[in-house]
Amino acid sequence: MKRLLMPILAAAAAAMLPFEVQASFRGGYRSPQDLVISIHHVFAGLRSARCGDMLSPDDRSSLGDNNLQTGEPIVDLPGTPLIRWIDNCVAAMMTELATPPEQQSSRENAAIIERDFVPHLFAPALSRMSALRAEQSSWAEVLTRRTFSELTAGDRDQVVAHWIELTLGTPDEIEAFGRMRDPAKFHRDLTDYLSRAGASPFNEIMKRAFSILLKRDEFLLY
Amino acid sequence: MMQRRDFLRLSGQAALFLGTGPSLISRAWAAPAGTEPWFFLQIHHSGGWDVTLGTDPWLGARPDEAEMFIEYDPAGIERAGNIAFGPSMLPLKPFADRMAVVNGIFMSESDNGHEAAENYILSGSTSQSWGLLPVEVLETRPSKLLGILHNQGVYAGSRSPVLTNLNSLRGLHVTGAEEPFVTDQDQGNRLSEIAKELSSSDGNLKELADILSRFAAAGEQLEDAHYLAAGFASGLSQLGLLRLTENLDSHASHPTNHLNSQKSGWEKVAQLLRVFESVELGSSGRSLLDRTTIFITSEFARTAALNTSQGKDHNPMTNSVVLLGPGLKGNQVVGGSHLVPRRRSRNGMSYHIASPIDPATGRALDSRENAMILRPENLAATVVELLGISRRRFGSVSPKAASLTSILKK
Repeated sequence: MKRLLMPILAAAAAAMLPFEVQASFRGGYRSPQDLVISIHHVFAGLRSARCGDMLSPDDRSSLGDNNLQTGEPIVDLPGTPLIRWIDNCVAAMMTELATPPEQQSSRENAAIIERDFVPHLFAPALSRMSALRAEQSSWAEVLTRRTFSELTAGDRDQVVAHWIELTLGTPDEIEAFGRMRDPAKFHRDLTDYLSRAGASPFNEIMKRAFSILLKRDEFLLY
Repeated sequence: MMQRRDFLRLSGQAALFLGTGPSLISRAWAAPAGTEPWFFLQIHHSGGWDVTLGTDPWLGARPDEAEMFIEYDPAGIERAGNIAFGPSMLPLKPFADRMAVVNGIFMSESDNGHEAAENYILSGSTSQSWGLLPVEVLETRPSKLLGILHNQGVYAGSRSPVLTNLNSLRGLHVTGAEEPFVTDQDQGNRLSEIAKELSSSDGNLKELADILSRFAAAGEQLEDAHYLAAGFASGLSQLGLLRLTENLDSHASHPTNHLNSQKSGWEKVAQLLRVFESVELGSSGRSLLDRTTIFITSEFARTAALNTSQGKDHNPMTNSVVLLGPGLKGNQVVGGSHLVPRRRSRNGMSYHIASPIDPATGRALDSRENAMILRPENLAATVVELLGISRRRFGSVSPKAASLTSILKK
């Protein structure tokens, strides 16, 4: 699915760009604009001012965008600034979940959180999540007040597998990148790690999970 | 599979981390004997400042408002040694012994707009091929991991420097609270390798986080100044560009408003100097401020009299800069400016313009005979020499541009 999406995302990126920002990192890493768009896709279209639709001037060097005069990448490979940018971006997205609708950075965010976010990110555990929703007044409350440990172990396992597929691809796709010998072991490690922090609310768990997943080469590489 | 190029790059970064000691500021800059740590920071007051309110106050008898508008009593101007402090620049008075004020810098005869003037004063060149001074300095020195720290972009000309926005350092001081994720499924994953260094106990980034945590523990609200200081003191960067945006472009409603805006900018500079002064480098007792060359600018001055909207427009015929740094004689004033009144002006409007100077002493002169007019390239040349960089290696500043030797330590 990821491979099918990439041409579409690339075309969408090209259509959105006001001028030449089609640079990429070297070594097969995705262009900055593609990264921004892919992150929005992962979060069901949720937006944050810290990682908006378009690359902001502040983000250009962190994401390795190109020098407009020479066309050369400013930073040729992902580095420390990208780690900070991704951490800040994920944290900002999770903050949106806890932000009152009138203070959110995008008008659509409230609708996305109430309509699209949970079905997109918690599809394998939707039945249990719906039960939690019945006890709260909004999905935002579920995501910020209820905890990961309220899912069964099986649900947690499947949700983490779903997050891995959304970001890195299927086990076969992941293996093809050559960064993991055993994708199933990575899945187990991540599930165990997140379950140990299971007393935290969902948005905290997602912050941890996606801060790890979005920094994987399987996500960053074309 | 990790490519050879990636491996070499990561190995280099690992060496950078491992080559420094535990989280003590002193270890990051435990330079070999005979070498001194150095840093260079440009601070730019965006918008164009009224130099008569700060760096170049009016000291004569109060002028006719139609010729030159000032909003203070010249007799009340405060001094510290050689330096006269306009009312906006008073926050810098405690640092007078470290400062050199250069007045009467001629940018151009006519207004070329903010961007061109800003690039000129920040680079010393009108060519678009060259980057700002930190960019060109970086071409002469090996880049530290974070390259040039900045808050609002750096014009790089045809160069491709490593740039790090200060925003990307925010939040670092809260590291360590979470259990790290560990997996053995990480063969050559680039950011995982770097992230491991981030959380390692002896890396420069850990040190950066430690310094920020110390600032936070001291109850300080972390601002750009703290991130710059931590970035420098941790050994991750030696170069910075900080832009201060305080609504200086007062084409209307200049009285009081511009003064307050400019004063707010100088207060931020003073706060940064205090932060840099509080950070000790090594065990020699020297502070980060002791080893940092700081070049404070704005793109131009403002016209002498108020316009019909009670504003002051762009005046590129004079400008000022302030310098601080280890190679500088402190408490110096170079150059000056003068008012050409309406009766002597070709267009019937008074104007404020740079005065020629004696190249040997830096004193403002009345006559152009044996004198020079200061331009941004002279300031850039001075900065290059302050940093100990060979002028021959520094292509963006003409070798013919004289430096201000009178303010340099021999």
